[in-house]
Amino acid sequence: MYYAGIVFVLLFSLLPFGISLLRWKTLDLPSRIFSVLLGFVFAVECVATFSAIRYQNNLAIYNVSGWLQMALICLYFNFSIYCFRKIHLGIYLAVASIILGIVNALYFEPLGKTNTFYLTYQAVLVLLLGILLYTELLLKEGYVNTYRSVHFWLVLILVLFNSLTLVNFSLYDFLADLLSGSVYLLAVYIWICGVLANLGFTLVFIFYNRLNPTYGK
Amino acid sequence: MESKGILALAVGLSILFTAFVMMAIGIVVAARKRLNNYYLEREQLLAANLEEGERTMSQIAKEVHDNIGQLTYLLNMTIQRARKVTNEVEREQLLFSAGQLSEKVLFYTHNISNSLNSEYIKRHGLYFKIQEDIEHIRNSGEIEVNLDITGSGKPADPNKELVVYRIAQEAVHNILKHASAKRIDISLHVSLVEFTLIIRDNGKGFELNEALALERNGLKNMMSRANSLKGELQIITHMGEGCEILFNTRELNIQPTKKLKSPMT
Repeated sequence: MYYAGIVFVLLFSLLPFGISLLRWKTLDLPSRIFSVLLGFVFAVECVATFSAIRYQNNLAIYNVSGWLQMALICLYFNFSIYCFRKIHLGIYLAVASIILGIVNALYFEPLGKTNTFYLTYQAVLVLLLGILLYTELLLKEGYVNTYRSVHFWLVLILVLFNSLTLVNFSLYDFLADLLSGSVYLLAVYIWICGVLANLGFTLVFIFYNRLNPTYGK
Repeated sequence: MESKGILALAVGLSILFTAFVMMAIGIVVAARKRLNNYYLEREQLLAANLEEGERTMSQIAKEVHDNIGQLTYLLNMTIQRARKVTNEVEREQLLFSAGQLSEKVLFYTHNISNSLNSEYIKRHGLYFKIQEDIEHIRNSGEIEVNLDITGSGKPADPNKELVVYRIAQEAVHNILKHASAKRIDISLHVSLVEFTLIIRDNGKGFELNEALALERNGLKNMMSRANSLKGELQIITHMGEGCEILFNTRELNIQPTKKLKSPMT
């Protein structure tokens, strides 16, 4: 049952990446960065699964990969939010996120434990960047077909995933203590959220050509 | 059981937070939709204005060619002749005739200027401009025109008022050009919520489907203008039965004024 669950999760991380690769030629720059992010997440899941089976611990892999994931997300927002692209704010945020992750690992939370501070920072930053993208969408001059925008959907899924997991990631250690033997339930909840998010990304990339990467008509 | 309760609480909190986020995104999407409607309306008005520009150009060209150009040529010839003539009486007559011609040129220029100048129309308002146009048509003595204005109020936005005037102008222009009518009845019904314009003639009428198939710009212009005001434009006509044009809109944002009179009736 445990292995079936792992295969299920791995398949669902491979699916959006595979579809995005099929659409690669038609993808705009931020969507390509997002595709790289999905590929990276799939690779991390594979390595983390191997590490869990071999060494009984994969937290270090998740923690380190979290910095790079955050950097890729910041890069994605850098190219999808116009005012970010102008001043390269996303690139600075990406570098800052990696530095923050290293500092957190060195001085606050060791790599062998769940980095709840960093996970909280990650979720809050994604929510803030999502708010910025939607603000820009709202203030944009001219006619904007929201539902036809690829980035509207990608960011919506990202924002929903992070808002659904924010409480659980922020209070992970606290909840794990309270749940003691049933901590796997928390992991299952996060897995379900992850699977749903990947399903959403898959749908966005399936319908990519029908959507419009810009906010045009 | 206790651990399930804790998990349920954590998940419940997450779902509550997500619902809040969803609500915020929903508000953004709804606001964007309203903005889109505004931009669409503006685009339609812009398109109508551009069409108007084109139409104005051809109208100026036509007026200059048909009236002002010929009259100026005639005026020039008359003055040239007056310079060559030695007989004082004949010269006086020619100069008098030159004076009359220049008055006509001034009259046509004034007419063109007033009917094309949107600022003039915006400044004086829809009712005044329609009344002024009717006066010009009546002066030609070839057609009977009646105007009936009921209700009170004035459109708040002069740009929208101009669009209504252009619809009326196009309709009357079409009657004068194609209908061979002897009588035109124009009715304006104004209330704080609704504005209705009815233009009826007793001319030869036409088959609407055929006219639309010909894609004449006049009808198309009227319809696109009516659309830009989210109004309803009905054209009721048949061969030999005259024509009735009915335009109705609730988008003029009529502001209350004292009761309108229709002195031209």
